[in-house]
Amino acid sequence: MSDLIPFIIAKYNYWIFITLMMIGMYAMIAKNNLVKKIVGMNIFQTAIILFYVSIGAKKGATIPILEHAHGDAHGAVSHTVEVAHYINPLPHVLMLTAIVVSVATLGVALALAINVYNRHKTLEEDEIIDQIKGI
Amino acid sequence: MSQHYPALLVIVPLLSALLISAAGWLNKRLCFPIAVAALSVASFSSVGLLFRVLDEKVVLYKLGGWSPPWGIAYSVDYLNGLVLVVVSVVALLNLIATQRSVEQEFSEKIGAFYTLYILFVTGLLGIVVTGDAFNLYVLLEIASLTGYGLIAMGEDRAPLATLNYLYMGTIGASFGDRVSLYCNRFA
Repeated sequence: MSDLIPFIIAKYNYWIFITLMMIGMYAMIAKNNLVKKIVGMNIFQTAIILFYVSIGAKKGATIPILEHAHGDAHGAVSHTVEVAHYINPLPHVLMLTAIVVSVATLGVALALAINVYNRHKTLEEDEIIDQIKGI
Repeated sequence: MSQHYPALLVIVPLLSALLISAAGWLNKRLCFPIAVAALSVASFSSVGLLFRVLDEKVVLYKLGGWSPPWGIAYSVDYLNGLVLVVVSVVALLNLIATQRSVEQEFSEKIGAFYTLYILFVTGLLGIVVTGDAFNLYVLLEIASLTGYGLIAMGEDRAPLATLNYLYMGTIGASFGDRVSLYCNRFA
């Protein structure tokens, strides 16, 4: 038990993302209102984006741009690149795309919700299912 | 020309999807011929690519001449070549065969339908042809979002069913991009 608490605290960011992700998952599964489900989906995606940004971060590191790599006055001096000093940009780049995609998905989902509302005059899922069964 | 088949396969349907959505505003009768022309070019280049693959075993195409760690590479081997031919030719045949029923069912939304259809085929072809995990994720999203759009054009229960599919698909794609990151990391 005494080992467990430092373990949880040491990786607290991941626990936050998992909690967020499960909140989104819960909303998607358990909520009755379609807009609430869409909001849950967005929370889920945001949790994943935060997770990636977090694993891309590095303490004491900077953005991966080499200073004075070109046109240096002391051209003969060779630079050794310390990997630990630079952040790997790959997770952040991937998340840039994921943010764009999540906005597009949100737009499609909201357009569909409008379509459902126009057809059934309600956004509550159980009422919609009753209407479908009634027809 | 023949060395650019992998790029033509994706670029031509992608750009013609834009053209079709413009044609939907101007003259609806132009939509179908543009779609057929785009998929014909795609089918022609996929067959040509299959013959090249039979000669060279693996075709590697670097977009813009940038090599893989920085640029996007398209790579096609035997299986990819065959699947490309199947996808593009079946999409073309399906497009021609369903012309009349599409005109009956979506008479006012015909531009939107053909735009989504061509974009969907673009996504599928891109998924098969690409050799880059990051690119794969983007094309997967193109294919799935246009898939939601196509399903939502149906009758009665279609919007609600599409919404359910969208929740599932989004969760799946979220894990898909995790896989693509690990592919990138260990490739």
